[in-house]
Formats: sequence, structure tokens, C-alpha cells
Amino acid sequence: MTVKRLVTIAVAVTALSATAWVFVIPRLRPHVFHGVVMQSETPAPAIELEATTGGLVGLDSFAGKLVVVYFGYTHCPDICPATLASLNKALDLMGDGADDVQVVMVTVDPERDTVEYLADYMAYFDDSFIGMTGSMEDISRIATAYGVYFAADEGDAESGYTIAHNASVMVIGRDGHLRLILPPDVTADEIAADLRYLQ
Amino acid sequence: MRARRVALGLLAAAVTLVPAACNSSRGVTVTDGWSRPVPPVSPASAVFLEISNDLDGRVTLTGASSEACGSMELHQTNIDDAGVMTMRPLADGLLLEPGTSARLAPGGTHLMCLEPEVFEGSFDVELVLDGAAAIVTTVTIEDR
Ligand SMILES: [Cu+2]
Repeated sequence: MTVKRLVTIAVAVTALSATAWVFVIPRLRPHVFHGVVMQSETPAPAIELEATTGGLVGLDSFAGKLVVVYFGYTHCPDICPATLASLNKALDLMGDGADDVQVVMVTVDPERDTVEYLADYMAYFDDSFIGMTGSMEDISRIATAYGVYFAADEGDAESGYTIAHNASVMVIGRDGHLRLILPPDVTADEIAADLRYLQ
Repeated sequence: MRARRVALGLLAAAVTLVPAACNSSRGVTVTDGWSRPVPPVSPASAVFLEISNDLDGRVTLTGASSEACGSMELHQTNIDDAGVMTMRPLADGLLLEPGTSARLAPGGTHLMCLEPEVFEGSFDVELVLDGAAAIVTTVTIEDR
């Protein structure tokens, strides 16, 4: 009788704590971002460049959306396609939530990345991705405002120059303020988790 | 009589097989060749693989070629703590001391395929080595 009751209590306690661990505690735990969280008082630096969607496009065209800004270039064979593929997978993971996310790649190689060329390149990853280009002066100014360093490197005769660039992924919140900087090796799951939280 | 002849034949076969087996395990081996899918308009893609040197001497990977690429170069990617990524040619090649192996992987060393012509499936790459004969390996295009 007592043993039976003890067993019942033990089972009930185990079930309760299991429920707490699985359902309650994860919700109480604050979201842990996978990048550097920014608490900026001022709106994200303006970006107005020639876009693959046609004409000059500014950040204000994406008002109300999360904007993911990536400074990259199409001659980058290693990290850039991996990051763009991860961003595409992250949007897939977000389902309908992805409708309120705009991914933008600003080229740091405007000499070679024309708007037509960027259009083909970006569409391969996701139809919704936008590529942006402009004059070297404009791009330098915007990159600097975002704390993104880049510089053309001497390449050799075959490959031409390559570009050293900051491969981080910036996330601008729905309020237009810079919210998050994700490292280049962030995974699709991590991106999706952070974007969902920011929505 | 007949059994003896068969036995001798088997022995002879075994004797010739043994050195062959030894040779294949003591050389340079290349495994796990892969390349990330890139848009067909891409001017470049990166090839990754694992290479091991089981010879008694040093071997240097100096370059590569493929019918699927206009040209190939050995490159080194670096990402520093600030997230700045750089890519440079490995001018002296990739040195493999005897008994060591190296993995060409994203964010590290890669074979850069310039003007790629194959964007799905697989393609062959010939690795040029200093200290050993050239090796042909198959590279699979896959998203990892
Ligand atoms: Cu490269």
C-alpha cells in the first residue's frame, strides 16, 4: 500500500518535472542570439543603391520587414555562396514568416558585379533575394557606415584581384534599427531562430 | 597432381597480389572531393577534399586542372576575429610531410575553379604533385 503510493508519487513527480523541462523551461529561458546584439538609438545607416529589382532602391522600401544585409561579391567562391545558401534555407525554415524578411546583398565589387549579373546570381539562391550595386564611392561610404571593411587585393594574372571583406550578416529590425550582426559561419537553423525572435 | 597445380597457381596469384596491395596503401590518396553548388553564372567555385601522404618523402600539392574549369588555383581563405575574410593564392603549394594528411575545407584551403562549366553532378580533377605522380579524383557537387 505505502510502496504503491510512493511509486505513484514518484511517477507523478517525474512526469511533472519532465513536462516542466520540455514545455515550460524553454519558454522561460531568454532567447540567446547567435551573433552580436546591437542596441542602436539611431536608424541603420541609409542604403540607396541600384537594385536587381530595378532602379535606385533604399532601405525605406522594406519598411516593416526585417532586412538582412550582406556585403559580398560573386567572385567569392567559398564563404559567400555558403552564406547565401544558409540564408535561403533559413527562409525555408521560417515558412510564412519569410514573407516579412528581405535579404539584400550589397556587392563590394561593383566593377565586376553589374546589376544584370547580380540578378542572375541572386535568383539562383532565392527569387526574393535582392542584389545591390553602385559606384565604388557610394558602396565604400555605406560599408564604412556599417563597420564593414573591404579592400581589393592583388590577385595573380589568372584569378584577378580578390577582395578582403567583412563577411558578417547584418540584421535590421522592423523599426529600421540595426539589431544583430551574425558571424559568417552561422547556420540556417541559427539564422531562422534569431530572425523569428526579431519578428 | 591437379590439386597441386591449382595450389601453386593460387600461391603465385597471392604473391603477385601482395605487392599490389602494399603499393596502394603506401602512396598519396585523395578522398572526399566535393564542391558547393554555385549559380551557373558564377565566375568561380571552390573544390574541397582530403589528401594524405603515406610515402616516405615530402609531397607538395602544387596545382590542379579539370575539364570542368577554365583554370584552377590553390587558394587559402582566412577569416579573422573581426569577420574579415581574405583569399590568397598559396604560391608555394600545400606541403605534406610523410605520414600526414590535410583537409581542404570551407574557410581554409581550397582549389579555386575559375570559369566553372559544370554546376551539378560531379567532375574529375587532376591534382599536380611535387614528389609523387599526378592523381585524378572525382569531385561531387553537393550542398553541405
Ligand atoms: Cu579561391
